[in-house]
Amino acid sequence: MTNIGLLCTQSIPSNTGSDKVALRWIDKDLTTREFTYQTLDQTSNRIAGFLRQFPSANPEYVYIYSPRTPEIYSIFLGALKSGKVGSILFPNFGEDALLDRFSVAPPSTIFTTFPYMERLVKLFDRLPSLKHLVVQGLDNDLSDRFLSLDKILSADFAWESNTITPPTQPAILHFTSGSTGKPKGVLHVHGAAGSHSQSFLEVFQPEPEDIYWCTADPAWVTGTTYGIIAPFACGITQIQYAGQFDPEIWAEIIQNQKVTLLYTAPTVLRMMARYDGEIYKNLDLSKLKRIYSVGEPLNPVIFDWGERVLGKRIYDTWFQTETGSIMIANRPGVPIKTGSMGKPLCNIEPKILTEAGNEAQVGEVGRLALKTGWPSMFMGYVNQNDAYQSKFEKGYYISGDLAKVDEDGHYYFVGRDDDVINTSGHLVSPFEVENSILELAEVAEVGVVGAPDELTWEKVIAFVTLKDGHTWSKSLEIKIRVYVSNRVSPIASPNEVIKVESIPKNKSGKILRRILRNSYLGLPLGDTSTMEER
Amino acid sequence: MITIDLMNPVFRTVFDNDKLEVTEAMTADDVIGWDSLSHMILISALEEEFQVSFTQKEIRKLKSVGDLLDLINSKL
Repeated sequence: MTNIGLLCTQSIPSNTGSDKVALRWIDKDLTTREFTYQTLDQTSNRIAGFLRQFPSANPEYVYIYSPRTPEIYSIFLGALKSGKVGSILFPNFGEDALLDRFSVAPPSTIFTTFPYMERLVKLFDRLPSLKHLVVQGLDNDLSDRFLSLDKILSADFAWESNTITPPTQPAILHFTSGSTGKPKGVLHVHGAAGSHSQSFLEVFQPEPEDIYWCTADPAWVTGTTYGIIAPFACGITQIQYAGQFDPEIWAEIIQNQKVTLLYTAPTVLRMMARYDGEIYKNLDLSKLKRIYSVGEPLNPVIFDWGERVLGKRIYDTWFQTETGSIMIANRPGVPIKTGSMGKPLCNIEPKILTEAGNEAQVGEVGRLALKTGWPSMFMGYVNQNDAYQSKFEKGYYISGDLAKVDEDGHYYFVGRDDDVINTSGHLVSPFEVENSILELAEVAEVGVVGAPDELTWEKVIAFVTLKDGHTWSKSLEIKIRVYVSNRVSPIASPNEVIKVESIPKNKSGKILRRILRNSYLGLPLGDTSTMEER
Repeated sequence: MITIDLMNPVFRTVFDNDKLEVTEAMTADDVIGWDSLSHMILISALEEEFQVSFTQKEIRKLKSVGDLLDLINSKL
């Protein structure tokens, strides 16, 4: 069985059963609803039956654009069962971010919720490929294009798996940001499920009675791989919470839901650590066995906080959208060195390469590369084969991260090898932010860089010059931040906007981000010989 | 003393919704796009609009639009 949708709903380990709870959903008011593996199978079958009415020779992209709801899980798995490619989008994406992604992989169907429908309706004329907008919260279909999700989930769309899904068939689409160009569509295949499950078992080492919580949004690769596929494919009960991060509420959920395995981001842990004291004093975390983190490096001080205040070990892990599953991790049974992201998983062969492509010495910083061939390795960037090919050298995938390895084989993240900004575990393209800011009438030039931040690892800093006749003001700064938030996403909105007299560029017009970054940090500017004269 | 009507344009701009009508009882759950990140942008926009300044502790205690209104008025 290689279809991920089937694996997640029909291959429950023999020591459990279809009446086992797959998902315990916690609403914002903290009331809970439970969905068994059987329910998940039935509802995803209805989605698959609906989608299969519209066969296509080409890969079809089915999107989910919605705040967190329990229906997301059935829709996503149903799309995969039907043979379509499923993609979950962040609900805070603005108009530009949506259109950029839809232009890469045109949608055939988009599932959304009633309030979010309005944003998509605005884009309708620019989405000729869109056959259906399926809306949760509509009692009835409004037209042939506007359909009610509630009707689909209550209708009898009979569906049985009657085809074999090849492991090489595209299944999942994620988007990732580069330092140049628009977001790239990262495709994964159904065969990736082998890596998803295997890595979950090796790193999290779950037991049948565990209660697992992956706090990542399902639109993030972590939320898809380890918040949907891996726990379901392994027959684990997971919880999900509809609300946003609040340290007191999350602590209460961990205690009251008896969470045993928690997978979250270092930013979340850093925010929890800032609340050090009262909220953890009377907390019963006796059921919690282990905490795992992903997205940005785990600071040693937060590792220590976990042991000291929570009495729990935090295991850092590393992977990327392109790798599809965890490649390097700390885990029980492997000695931990604080500050290290751990050791490679079984059958994963990383290497640190020098700029010339040779293997780096122990302790030498270089490019983190992985020997190709693991099942969840991405199969391509949609319609960008050159960009895909450029990620490989002599049989190794070049991750774009800089790292080093010590004499015991522990890997240490150092930074990015490009200008992409990692803020709270999300990659932000400076190019995307710059394009958005340039749309404002007041702005003449802009350069965007990442700078270190105590809470979010990196923050987004924008430098702008103004057109003649415009003056700098706090209002204009806020206008820029709001504009990026609405057009791209709040995560890409600059934390600071700095007005400058000129943006440093080289003689061919390329923004010299190093100079902007160094000037922000108060460091020597370095070599300025290539800088354009003004 | 400001009223909810004076806050409404700021909310409309920050959340890119010309039809938004905020009420004192509204919380982040009632407004599309009001998450922890856009919350900080909203705070900056309100600080600028009404020429006030909030502390982190004050921001953490906010639960509704009414709380925001009260906080602003307490500083005017």
